[in-house]
Amino acid sequence: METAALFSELESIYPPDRLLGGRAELAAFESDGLTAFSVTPRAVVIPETADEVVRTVRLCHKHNVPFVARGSGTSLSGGSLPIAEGIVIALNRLNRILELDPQRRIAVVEPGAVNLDVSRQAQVHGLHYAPDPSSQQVCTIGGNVAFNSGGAHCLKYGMTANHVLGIKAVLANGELIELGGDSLEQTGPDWVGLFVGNEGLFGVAIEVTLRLLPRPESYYTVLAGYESVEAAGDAVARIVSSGLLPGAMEIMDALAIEAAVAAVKSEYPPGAEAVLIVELDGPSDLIDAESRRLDELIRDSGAVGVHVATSPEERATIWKGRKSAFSAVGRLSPDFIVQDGVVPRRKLGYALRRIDTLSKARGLRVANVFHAGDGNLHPLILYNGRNEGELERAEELAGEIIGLCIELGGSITGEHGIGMEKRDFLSRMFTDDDIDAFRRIRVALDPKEIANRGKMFPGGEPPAMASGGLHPLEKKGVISRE
Amino acid sequence: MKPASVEEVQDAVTRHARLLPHGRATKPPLGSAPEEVVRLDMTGFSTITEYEPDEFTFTAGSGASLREIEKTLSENCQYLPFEPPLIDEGASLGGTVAAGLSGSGRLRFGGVRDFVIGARFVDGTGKLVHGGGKVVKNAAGFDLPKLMVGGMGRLGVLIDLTFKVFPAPRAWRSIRVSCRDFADALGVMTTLAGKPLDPEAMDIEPPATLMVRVAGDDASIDKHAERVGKTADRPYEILPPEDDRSHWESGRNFKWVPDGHLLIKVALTPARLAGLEQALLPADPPRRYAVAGNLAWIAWPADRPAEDLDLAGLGGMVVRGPLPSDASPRLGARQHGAAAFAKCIKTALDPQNRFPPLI
Ligand SMILES: Cc1cc2nc3c(=O)[nH]c(=O)nc-3n(C[C@H](O)[C@H](O)[C@H](O)COP(=O)(O)OP(=O)(O)OC[C@H]3O[C@@H](n4cnc5c(N)ncnc54)[C@H](O)[C@@H]3O)c2cc1C
Repeated sequence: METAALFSELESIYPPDRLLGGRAELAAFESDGLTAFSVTPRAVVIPETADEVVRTVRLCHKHNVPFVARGSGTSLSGGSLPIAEGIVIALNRLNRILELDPQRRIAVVEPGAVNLDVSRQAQVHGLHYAPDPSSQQVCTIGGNVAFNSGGAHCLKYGMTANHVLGIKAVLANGELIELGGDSLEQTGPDWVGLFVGNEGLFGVAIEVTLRLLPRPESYYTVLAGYESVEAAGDAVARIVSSGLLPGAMEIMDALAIEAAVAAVKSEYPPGAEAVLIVELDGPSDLIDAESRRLDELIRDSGAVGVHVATSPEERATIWKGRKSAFSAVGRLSPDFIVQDGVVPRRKLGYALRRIDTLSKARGLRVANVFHAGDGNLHPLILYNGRNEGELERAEELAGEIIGLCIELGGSITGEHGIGMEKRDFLSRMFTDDDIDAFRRIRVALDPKEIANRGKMFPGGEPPAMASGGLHPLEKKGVISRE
Repeated sequence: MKPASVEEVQDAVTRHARLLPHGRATKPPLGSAPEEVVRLDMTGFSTITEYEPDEFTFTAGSGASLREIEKTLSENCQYLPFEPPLIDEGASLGGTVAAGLSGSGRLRFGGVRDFVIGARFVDGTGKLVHGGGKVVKNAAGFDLPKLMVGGMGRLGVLIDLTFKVFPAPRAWRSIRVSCRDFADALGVMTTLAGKPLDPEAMDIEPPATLMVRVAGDDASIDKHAERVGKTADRPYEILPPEDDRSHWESGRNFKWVPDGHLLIKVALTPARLAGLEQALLPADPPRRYAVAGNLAWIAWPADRPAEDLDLAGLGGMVVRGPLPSDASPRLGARQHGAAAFAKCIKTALDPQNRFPPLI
């Protein structure tokens, strides 16, 4: 590693205000959404052009210095956690929407473009960008691409990968590549499909072409209360097997309800131990008919109270309660860990019961707010880091929950990625040969393993523990988590 | 050679210097190789190994017949929305993934790449590798299942695949819109595609017919189909349900392609459609433009030199028809931006080039 040599070359690219090295300046980049950990990088560079990114990566390659690309630093798995001996490439100023073509229904954006900004600009043309992580007000398209981020509407619309048509990137080996294009179709291997979800281990995406969809004409949003989480889970199974394909199906349990009520004054059916939110979207004539089927299904599902949104404002209120639930739960406790394992949908009820048993055994509270439609759990483990041994117990419980997801035939992560946090679980889901194939791909693209070194693959030094709790932006109420 | 177990596949891969897998051989041009290869017939892996209707996922061997899979799914009112092509001809699951083929229905919910969620394959080193998983949402590890889409068997031998499926709509309707000319059809298509009408499929049959398919509930489908017709603002007819089905079935099985013709797939965008049509007009081969201008299928007489085919600067892939086995199925322009990436991935998974070069 030749850090000094790298720095003198970086100085020829960046003016001092975009090449940060002072302790105080670096502090803002020490952590990401996995706030329990922090690492101080050697430096942070703030490129303003794609060319600066390319030159920076090539220099890192030349001098063998690791780097971490960073969007808004909202990763919940420690994906954008810096590397002590490396640099951070902060992409927030590369946030232009370079092209938005309503006729072709595509947007070409820089990696630092914020997710919601794309939808906002598309809205003028009656279009939107479908993937909607709850962090969408701040998270970047580059981060979404790296993690194949999801949101509440994956059941019908899929993840980020389903909406990315083309990617320009600089590989960690310095090569400039252009994958895909602007067609929905292709005649060769799905390179874009492989690139999405690489967790920043291939290089840096510098331009992304996104597919835009017409905004649904109408929504039918129902909130139903149930006497237990299992009953809500059963309702989900019933709706799915009826042949309806809702845009979203979300469940909140009692603790989450309690927190949402306290935080945003949401109102829920009295006596409900769980609430289910189901949303149909589509052309109004079709939704009219489907909504009648949904009403019947919910009526027969033993709901203790049902509320149908009759205006866009009521719909927004329902979603506000849902989207703020996690941060609201976070406020109930000084510290928490959030997991995002996936279980087969028919095993949701069983998984929730087991999580309850596990949480009682460890003496820690767990709130559940999750994407029920696709089996993606989001158990939030509450603990107090100041109490001796509580963090360790919380981590053990998190490990047990991840183990449960694997045991049930699911996945250790639905949308937050492996990052730093779950790298030691990768080998519980994949064999040595599987991981070896991942590694061969990584090394072929990044022979010096400088791109986001220490992430995703098992092993490596654990970074220093820091505080815990809410992401700084959550504390300010700017974003909330799912 | 027809392996019957994963071990036999691994053995074949480690034992032979050059080999290439195939499914039910419905797309022979994609099996072209510049030198002699041992051909691995994967139809020994033809069973649906797991199917949980409540879970809306299934796992099946790469040689499994898609027709059988569709039949099993339809018994449970489920389907693969991307309308895999050539199923009457016997297309296999693995062949469809490897060829990266989706039909007209990919417009609404995505193509084969968007529905494959797990894959097991034997790579060029003989190792059994699995990527993805069996649940509909999963972000763990690199997305190898997507990498297998369009790999044409040159990155690994597919053993089995896991897919997510969707509930089948209760009713379908197709609207045949008669436009004034090609430019008009293109204009109407662009207008409809920008509206929140949720079409399942939208194809142009040159010169001036626009076919739109919508899906929904029995109670609302007629009204919705009328609405699409009225929005098109051109003379239209709603196909009777019997004709509807046969129209799309004949489309995806390419019954419209005359004997002795090559079937060529071209990926494009609506913005390049007019240019392609212009270039094709002099030779006037049978053709269809599917997926709202994202996919062209062209039938080209095999005895006519391929150089006569002007693809207006686009690239094409011969997927069917009598092509010499050593001829590349690639036609027209090639995109080079991915070359460096492709080389790295190919080397990583197949360091000794046991499989033929990527096409
Ligand atoms: C409150 C809250 C709610 C959330 N809700 C959701 C949710 O609903 N669904 C969901 O999926 N996630 C959610 N997340 C997680 C997070 O927002 C997503 O993972 C998001 O995509 C990260 O974007 P970012 O810009 O913050 O990326 P960062 O955290 O900065 O980076 C994430 C990863 O991407 C890499 N990266 C960033 N840019 C590039 C680039 N240009 N090229 C290559 N690699 C790059 C980084 O190295 C890192 O590994 C939530 C997080 C928070 C804090």
